[in-house]
Order: sequence, then structure tokens, then C-alpha cells
Amino acid sequence: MSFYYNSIEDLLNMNVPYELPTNFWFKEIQSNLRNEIICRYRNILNVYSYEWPLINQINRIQFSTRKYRDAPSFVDEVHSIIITRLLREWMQRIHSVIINLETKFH
Amino acid sequence: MLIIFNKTIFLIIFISIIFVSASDDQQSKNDEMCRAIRNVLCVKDVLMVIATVAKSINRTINEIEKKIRNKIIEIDTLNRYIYFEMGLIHSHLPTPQYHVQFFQLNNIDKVCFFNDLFYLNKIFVFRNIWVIYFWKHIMQ
Repeated sequence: MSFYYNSIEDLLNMNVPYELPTNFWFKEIQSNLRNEIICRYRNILNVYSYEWPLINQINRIQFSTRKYRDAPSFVDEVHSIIITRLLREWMQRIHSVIINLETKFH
Repeated sequence: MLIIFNKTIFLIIFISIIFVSASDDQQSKNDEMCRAIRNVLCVKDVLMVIATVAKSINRTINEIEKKIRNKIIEIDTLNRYIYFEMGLIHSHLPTPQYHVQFFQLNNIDKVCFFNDLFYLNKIFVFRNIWVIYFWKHIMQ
């Protein structure tokens, strides 16, 4: 999750001359990832006294640096859609694992 | 007199070294992501909250995708670039191996129920599987 947290950070820090309408939602997702998922998860790890990696030790999505010749304004949209797609898969995984915990341990 | 003075200086240096290293330790554990690490009363409840948040994040994601797709007219070009970028980043993405393993394992503590001797083992398995899977899974 930290991986995607960092990737969204990159996306929000991209130099675009205008404020993107999707930035608002990405900020919301990022703060949810941080406060509701990563931090809650760290609380749990703390109970079992497990260490966790720091946010700057985690990698991020390395997009290509080249500009799209015929559509330079696409960069942001392409990155946004890729992040949302991958993040959706991970959210579904987290959800299904937690929901299935009951059946695995009883 | 001089010896005592020297000794005190050494002692002060020694103590300050201990303090500095202790504060370093604390700093390395903190990346200012979370305001405070709280204690958890029920791990299951916290996990359920995480699951609910994951669902709500997915709803926001759907909104974003809808918005972007409505804005862009050249969907084909967009898809082509997405395909291109995905090919580049694919090998560097975190893999869901722990998630896959989790679903391959079944009835994790069923065997342990038959024998009290396995009780410790059960806790061990419980701690490890639950925590390590989730840790790797979520921290990836």
C-alpha cells in the first residue's frame, strides 16, 4: 500500500499548469490509505511487535519519462488510470483476505 | 582532582552518546506517517475497518475512472499509452504472492484442535500467518 501511496504522491506532485479535478479524489484516497489502512495496520503490527518498513524505504511506480508525441496532456491521465486500476486490484485483495479470515481460522 | 574531572567528562560523554543513539533509534522507527501508534483492543475489528475502507477507496477509484473516461475523446490513444506503460512497469510491480498463498492454505488451525500439544504451534501459526501475510501484503 505504501507503494501506491508513494505513486499517488508522485502523481499529485506532477507539474501541470492547472489543478486537475481528479486530484481532489486522489488526495482523499491517499489520506484514507495513510490514516485508515497503513496506520491501522501499523497499530496491529505493534501489538505483535513486528517491525514495519518506513515509507521512504518503499519503492514506487516507475513510469517512463518520455513525452507522448501526439498527446502530451495524456501523461497525467495515463498515470492516473494505471494507478487506479492497480490500486483497485489491491483493494479487492485486501477486502477478500479479511473477509475470508473467518473461514480460514475456524 | 584532575583525574576526577577527567572521569566526569568521560561519564558525560558516555551518557550523551547513549542518549543520542537512543533518540536515533526512535527517529528511525518514525517516518511521520502516523500521529501515534495506538494499542489495539481487538485486531479483528481493526481489520474489518480496513476492509470497509478498502471498499470505499474502490468507490472513489470508480469515480475517478469515470471522470477521466468522460473527459477524453480519443479513448483508443489513451488505451494504447496505458498498454505501453503497463508493459514497462509490469515487472517492477509488487506481486500478490502472499495473497495467493493465503488462499491456498486451508483450515489452518483445524489440526491443532485435536491435540493440546499443538496449542503453542497454533498460536505460532496464527501469529505468523496472520501477521506476516498481512504485513507483506499491505506494506508492499
